[in-house]
Amino acid sequence: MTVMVEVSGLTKTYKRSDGTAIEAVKGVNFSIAKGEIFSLLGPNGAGKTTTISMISGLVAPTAGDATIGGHSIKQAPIEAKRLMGYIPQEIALYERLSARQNLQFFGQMYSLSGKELGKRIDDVLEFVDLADRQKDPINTFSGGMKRRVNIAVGLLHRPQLVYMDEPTVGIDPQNRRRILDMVFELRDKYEMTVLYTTHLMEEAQELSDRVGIIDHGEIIAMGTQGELTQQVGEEDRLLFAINQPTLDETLLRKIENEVETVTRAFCDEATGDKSSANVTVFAKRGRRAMPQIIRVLNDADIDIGSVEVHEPDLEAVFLHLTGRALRDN
Amino acid sequence: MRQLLAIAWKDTYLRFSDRTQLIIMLATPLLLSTIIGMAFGGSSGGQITFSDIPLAIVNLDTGNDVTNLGDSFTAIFLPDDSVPTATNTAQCNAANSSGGQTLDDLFTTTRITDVEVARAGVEDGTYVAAIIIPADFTSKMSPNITPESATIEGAQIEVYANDGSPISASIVRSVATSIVDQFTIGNVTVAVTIGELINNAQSGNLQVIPALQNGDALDFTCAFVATDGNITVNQQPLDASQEQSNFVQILIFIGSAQAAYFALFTAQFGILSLFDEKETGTLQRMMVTPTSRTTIILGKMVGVLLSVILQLVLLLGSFTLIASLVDGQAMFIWGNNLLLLVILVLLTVLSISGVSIILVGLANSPEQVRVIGPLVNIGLGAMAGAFGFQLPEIISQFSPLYWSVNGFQSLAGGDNDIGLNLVILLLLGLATAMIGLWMVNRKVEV
Ligand SMILES: Nc1ncnc2c1ncn2[C@@H]1O[C@H](COP(=O)(O)OP(=O)(O)OP(=O)(O)O)[C@@H](O)[C@H]1O
Ligand SMILES: [Mg+2]
Repeated sequence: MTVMVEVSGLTKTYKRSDGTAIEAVKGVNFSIAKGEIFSLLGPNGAGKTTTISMISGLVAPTAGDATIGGHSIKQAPIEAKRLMGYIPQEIALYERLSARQNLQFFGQMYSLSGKELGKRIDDVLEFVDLADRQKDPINTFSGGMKRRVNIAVGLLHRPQLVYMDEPTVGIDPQNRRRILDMVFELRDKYEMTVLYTTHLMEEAQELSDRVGIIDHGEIIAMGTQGELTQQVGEEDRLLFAINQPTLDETLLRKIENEVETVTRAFCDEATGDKSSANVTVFAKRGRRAMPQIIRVLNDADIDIGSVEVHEPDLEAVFLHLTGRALRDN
Repeated sequence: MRQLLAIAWKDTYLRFSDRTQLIIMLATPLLLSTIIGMAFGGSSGGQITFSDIPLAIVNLDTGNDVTNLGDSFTAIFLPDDSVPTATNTAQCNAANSSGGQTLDDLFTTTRITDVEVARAGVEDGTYVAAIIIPADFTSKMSPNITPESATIEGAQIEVYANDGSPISASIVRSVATSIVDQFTIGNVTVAVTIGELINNAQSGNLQVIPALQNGDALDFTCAFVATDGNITVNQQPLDASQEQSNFVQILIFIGSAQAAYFALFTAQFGILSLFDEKETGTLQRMMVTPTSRTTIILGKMVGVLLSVILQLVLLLGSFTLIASLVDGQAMFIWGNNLLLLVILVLLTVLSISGVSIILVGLANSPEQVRVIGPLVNIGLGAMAGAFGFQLPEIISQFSPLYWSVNGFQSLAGGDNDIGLNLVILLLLGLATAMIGLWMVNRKVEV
């Protein structure tokens, strides 16, 4: 595993004008592997933007350092910056310039020019699906389209590492879907590393290879979703679709009593055509319980249509660690 | 270097592709200078004179507890109308009534209470234009002050004009604009813009770009009124200018001063755009590219220099063109030494930019610049005679604009002995630019 970003002891204390201090980020440590989507999940004011600002060289850390591809953001900022694309939380574009003119300008800031720049502009416009509107000024774009141009600017120089700071805030589900798909495409097709911040559990859950949960300037938990949720000890939810209208009570009791870590099993109402039903089982170790449950069902000659395991979600983790729900913030 | 130029070019392009800014940078000084030149320079040269333009004014302003800016506005056109809240206009006028042409002479103004009557009057040609002050003029022009910021919504004054006499109509517009300009400057810091030239069907409006602070709304109307009468005092008794018409002589004087005065705003807004870009996040966006901070800031500054150079060249060029058109013969009004002229333009740009940078550097916040900046500019402009009246040289010489305008006048008059002007502009420009740059650089902590 090659490390793309290594953050150690990163701290930022802002001074208010009245002399008091705000500790926006309190000594965070994390690393991001090359080709990984890493999410920072946390409520408003948690310190996500401040962290990204520090590792992109915009804000000088009060303490600590970050290396990007081995280049310290403090010692070798220009080298580090060459590797990164930055997609800010707020739309940062010249409203009166066209999409293409914006790309042209920022491309020049990356020392791109001529045919090469033109080609890359065509590529990113294609990528964000705005080639047909490229000549229009930004102030004639919808919010979702602006977001996509905002993203395109950050990808122009084909960075190895992309920071995306809450790129889906305030846009409709369709555009959101598009952006989330783009993130996958960046990793899978372009082999980029992505640092994604969000306060939405679902996004972190869907996108991330690993998640860092940040609250009050501290990373309070980090790992794959599995690791995070297991750590909380919440139960997995297993869903079995069976090809018959219902399941015997005795079988359900048998699953509860005989399968390790299962706490509860019940059968939902039969679906519309009465030919199938869903059996839900809660288990502390869902993946381990699953084969045993399948065996029990097989032994009883139950025809299983499909099986799903739902891990406990990050919402539960945040709740467990902070006693607050993410959304309340 | 490529990045530096990209930034400079982007800024210049943005500035010159914005209609609002074009109006402030070019149209306003051109119109004002030409109008003043025509209004007061026509007498002996036998050129077009404008006087007694029939004008209607409708004041719908309901004012607020303290004042009624609409009344103050009206009083400038109708000084004899006793308006209780208008302060010193009448006094200004009284003080000036001894000599020269005033707004009074330029317009024959009628106060009308009913908008429809006024519009009908314009439509049937009784009036060239109607100035319509909206009911919420005072409230929109008064600042909303909160601890963080103060903003002015900006009011719209409608100039309802008859397209039968477009020139007269544009005079009305530009005078109305410049008065609102003085208002907002006294009241607040602001730039005023004129909309498009209007005709019968679509009436334009004035927009005010806001900022903060309050003060006496009428402080500068006095300066404006005083202007009109005294312009002729500044005629140059130089040999070369003997052949030039009155109009051209006034155009040279007022034109160079107005060009330099409006250039101050371009420079100031240009430097402030550094903070605007911080606000919109595009500065941060530049800073995450592999471009050093110094390059970015220098790029912005070069953009300012480029814009101001372009502005001055366009203005000076236009004045020559206007002079040729009005006098009916091709002429170049800025003298016979192109090299000196170019150097003077460049040093003017340097000193104007320097003064603006240092102002931004000294201020606590961009908001403060937006308050103080225009006042400083007015002061510097007044010292250089941008408003038509001249202050004693002992005061004037502290304005870099004075040395520029003085230089332009000398060159125009065939007097190429402007070494002192150039040296002063150079030293002043270098010193202010360097100190200012150092201070601004420290302020741009993203
Ligand atoms: N320039 C600044 N000066 C002072 N305090 C700041 C500054 N920037 C951020 N803060 C404070 O630092 C804390 C973290 O802010 P940050 O913007 O990093 O949060 P965030 O996680 O990105 O939140 P959001 O989801 O709302 O974007 C907040 O308390 C904020 O008020
Ligand atoms: Mg944020």
